[in-house]
Amino acid sequence: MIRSLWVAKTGMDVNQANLDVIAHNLANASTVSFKRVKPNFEDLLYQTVRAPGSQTSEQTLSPTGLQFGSGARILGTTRVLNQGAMSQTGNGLDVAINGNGYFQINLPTGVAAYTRDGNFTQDNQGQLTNMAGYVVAPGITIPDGAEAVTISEFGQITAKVNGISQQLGQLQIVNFVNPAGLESIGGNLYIESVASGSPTQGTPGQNGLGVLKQGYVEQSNVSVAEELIKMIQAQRGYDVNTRVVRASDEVLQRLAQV
Amino acid sequence: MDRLVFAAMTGARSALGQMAITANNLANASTPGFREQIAAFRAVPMGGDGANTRAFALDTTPGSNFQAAAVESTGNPFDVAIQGDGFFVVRRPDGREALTRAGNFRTNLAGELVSASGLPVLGDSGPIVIPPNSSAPQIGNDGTVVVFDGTSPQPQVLGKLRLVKPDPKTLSRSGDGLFEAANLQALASDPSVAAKQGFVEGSNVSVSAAMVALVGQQRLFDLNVKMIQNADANARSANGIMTLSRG
Repeated sequence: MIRSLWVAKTGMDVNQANLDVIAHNLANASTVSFKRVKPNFEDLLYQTVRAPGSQTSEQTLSPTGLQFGSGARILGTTRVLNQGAMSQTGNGLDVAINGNGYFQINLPTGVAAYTRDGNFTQDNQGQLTNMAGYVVAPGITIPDGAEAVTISEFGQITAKVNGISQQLGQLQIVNFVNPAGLESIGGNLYIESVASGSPTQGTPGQNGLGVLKQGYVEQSNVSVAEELIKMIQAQRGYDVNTRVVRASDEVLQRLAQV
Repeated sequence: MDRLVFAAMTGARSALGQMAITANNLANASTPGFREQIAAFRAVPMGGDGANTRAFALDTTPGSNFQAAAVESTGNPFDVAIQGDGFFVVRRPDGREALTRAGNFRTNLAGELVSASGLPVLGDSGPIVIPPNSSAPQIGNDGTVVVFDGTSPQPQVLGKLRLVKPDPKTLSRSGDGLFEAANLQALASDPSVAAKQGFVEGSNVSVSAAMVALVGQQRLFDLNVKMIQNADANARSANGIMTLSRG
């Protein structure tokens, strides 16, 4: 009926989606290893009503054209993979990755998930698991009565059992061609997607993979100040688009009174 | 009925068209790299026998505002803003090249640096491929992209972003919102275009100017409708006179 009404609606949608993403980021401002999500916007298709230079009569050309844009849309969200700050926890089973890479977690369904959340613990069989109780690949068992468990920068896990130092295993980490394309499944976990490519496994500290830091966890990389400013922007953006809706409505009202 | 209604009608219709353009500018007030559409009117005088008393209004979009917009610091290594004039070159799936100012890049499955909509961003010699397991790319002011792959302390140069500076007069907006320029294929990097990593350029729509324009367009519409109502009233009284004289 009237273009501006629908165009303003797309503007409201975009700003609403922006607010949704900001709310999610702010809610996860203190989630270990959370990577902030960034929405991407683009302008929608343009309708060329009259191309410049089109024929207006046999002898004359139109000197200018007319193009209507149809608004904006949210193209998708990308994860910003900047390293979060490292915070020391003093917990011997907390491990942070400093650099590229993901820990592999074996889900109970048999599917492999990936995470940078190295907030680990042990289950009742002594296996190294994440906080949800899922086993950290390749499956390392810490025997009863083990003391001074150390995890080296390169992933070797050693412990003193009955006073004798013993190798318990080697933590491997994986990386992807396009880690920003991993699919979030919640619980700080990601799974492989078509966009991420398949995982390549490696030893921490080698071939460009990051090193492990025992006793640290990686904090969320959300900057609260930045999100708050974006929130103000999105809210005002929503406001101006509602103003366009009102103006279009008034125009229609005026038209109906003729 | 007086033919002035038709002149007023073109005015009202064009005011609505301009509102749609202002609405599009406002809807894209937070689209990275968006360039404001300019709306204008053109008078089309009605020719013919007798006095040329009427001129119809035609709404047009003669071009875009290419003024640089504010850049915001994001700290994301995949965000690149162009300082001053200039454009990034992207390649569409059908091979045609196009220009954009939106520097919110990411990588795709092949590790290529792509625009937010997934089109490869071109370097001087084709797309830029970021090898897996490398550090985040570092992009210099001249557009040189380097990474550290962790095996050697030497940076690995992946290519140089093609930063071009076409004549703004030759630029046209295509249906997908990207810009096209004459002889784009032959356009080489311009050394005067500077890129800045970790920043993204916003939209250059001035929200205050657009809101004022919106009010103006709304009132213009009202005035034209008022003219239509005047013509209607005139015709009505004319009808009244006819009725009287007949009696």
